[in-house]
Amino acid sequence: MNELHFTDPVYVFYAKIWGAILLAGGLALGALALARRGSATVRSALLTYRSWWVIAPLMALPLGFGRTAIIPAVTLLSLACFHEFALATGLYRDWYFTGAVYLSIVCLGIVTWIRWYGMFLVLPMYVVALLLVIPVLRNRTEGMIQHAGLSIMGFLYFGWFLGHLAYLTNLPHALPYLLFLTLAVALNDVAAFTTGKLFGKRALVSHVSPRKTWGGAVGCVLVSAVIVAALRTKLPQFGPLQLVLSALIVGVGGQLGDLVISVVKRDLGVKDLGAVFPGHGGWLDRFDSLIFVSPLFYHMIAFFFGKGMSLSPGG
Amino acid sequence: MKRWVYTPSPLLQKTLAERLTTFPREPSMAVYGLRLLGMVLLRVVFALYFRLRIEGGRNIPRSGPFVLVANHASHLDAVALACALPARQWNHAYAAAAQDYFFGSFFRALAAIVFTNAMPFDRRDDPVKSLELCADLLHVSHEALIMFPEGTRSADGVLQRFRSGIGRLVAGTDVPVLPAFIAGAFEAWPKGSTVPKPRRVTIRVGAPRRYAASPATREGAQAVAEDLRQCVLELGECGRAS
Repeated sequence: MNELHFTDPVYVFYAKIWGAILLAGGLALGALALARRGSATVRSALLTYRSWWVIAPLMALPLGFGRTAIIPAVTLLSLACFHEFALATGLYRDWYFTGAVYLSIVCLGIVTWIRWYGMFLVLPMYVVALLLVIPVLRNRTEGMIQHAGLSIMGFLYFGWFLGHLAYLTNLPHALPYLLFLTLAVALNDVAAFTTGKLFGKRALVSHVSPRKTWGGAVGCVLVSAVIVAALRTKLPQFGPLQLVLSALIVGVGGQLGDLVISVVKRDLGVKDLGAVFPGHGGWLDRFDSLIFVSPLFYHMIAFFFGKGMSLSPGG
Repeated sequence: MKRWVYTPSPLLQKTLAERLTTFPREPSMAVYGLRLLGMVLLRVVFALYFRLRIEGGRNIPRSGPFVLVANHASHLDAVALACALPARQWNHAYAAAAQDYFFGSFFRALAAIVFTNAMPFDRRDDPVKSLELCADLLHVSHEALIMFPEGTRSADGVLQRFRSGIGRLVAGTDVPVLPAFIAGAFEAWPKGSTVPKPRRVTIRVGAPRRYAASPATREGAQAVAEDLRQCVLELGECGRAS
């Protein structure tokens, strides 16, 4: 997938859906704002909604420009997410470790660009080796387990996990898969927020995120099942099994990704990880679920359809 | 098991614009990288377009605090002085820049920070606080400062009165103060002109002066400012004579 996709029928289809949802959301919120003037919840929802008008084009443009833009865009997103993580943990003060992780993320982008799948899979080994050797080369021990540990988590989670989103471009039918994934995960986030507000009383994981409820979680998985069912004709190769797995990966994985970052934020004692998107927070607050979902979705496709990728037993 | 201690950055929940105007700044890999590129670019432009000549550049210390004091008649002044700095001081010498002008817009602030490592100097509302910040930079963090004691660009290129702030900063301390004269910058890019003209720019850096014996009083500060103004004037005239 190297050419422009702006006129591709699948791209146009998804662009129309995004446009329709944004417009419908705007009308609904506008009506709500008129009905309940001065409500703080509505005001914060409006702020969050406004940011979507920035986020949606930010995702749509690289997708439209194809592989040449998607791989750099995902690499930049990884760098931005790791940067926020480094700022939040205080790791950013150690330039040896942060520099090594930045470089490793760029290497991952290059490996993705040249379609070197074997290296894509074993790069984490080399990066862990590099990060563990840094204290040795610096002849330092104090606090080094913490720095190395945070850096390893940073590369694996924000670099390698998210990197699977870029590696998707090397699979056949990458465009419909990527368009599906970005839309489904975004809608799932909105669903998680709304169902959590509307349904359920029993807290899901009270220490991690007191506002998440069992009712909201189940509602969210149901919503993602509906999304997958509605978009099933736009997912090439997928049979019933893959559709069910997709719904579970997006519905469950999306919420888990959100909660993983909640654990990070709670442990650090920070509310948001940035202020890039008013109403959302930073890059990491916005793309937390995509990070968790991307590798699961990628390997589901690679397992069933990735010929020559040796991911199925005996393959 | 000992718990890990996290110290999140104070910038974490600030927007990019807020991050730029926050001072003192913490070292940032991105800014250092941009500055490295910026310094190379500046040197090329100044060598080719303004045929920059630096006299007495060796007077600038390679490490430790100092104050570089110069005449101010053009926007080129601060960047020209940045070209005279030794590489080791690139990230340690701060140019005091008018907060109202340079930190008023995002791109101006970014350019000022990248090219001159600008510190926002509030010359209008709270110059005393800004001077205290300068003093902290010099005496506590042992960083260097680049200042234009005239307070603003001269409209006709003639050296104006020096404000006493520079005197309050260094009177009674052992920090070396380097007078410098920038010639040609006014002719190349005076106040009010939009496009810089290709004129030769010359920087003359004088020998360091110390004011440990000066009293830290209003009169002492004024005397230091006047002394520095004389030094800068002399540097300007010795260039005209030769």
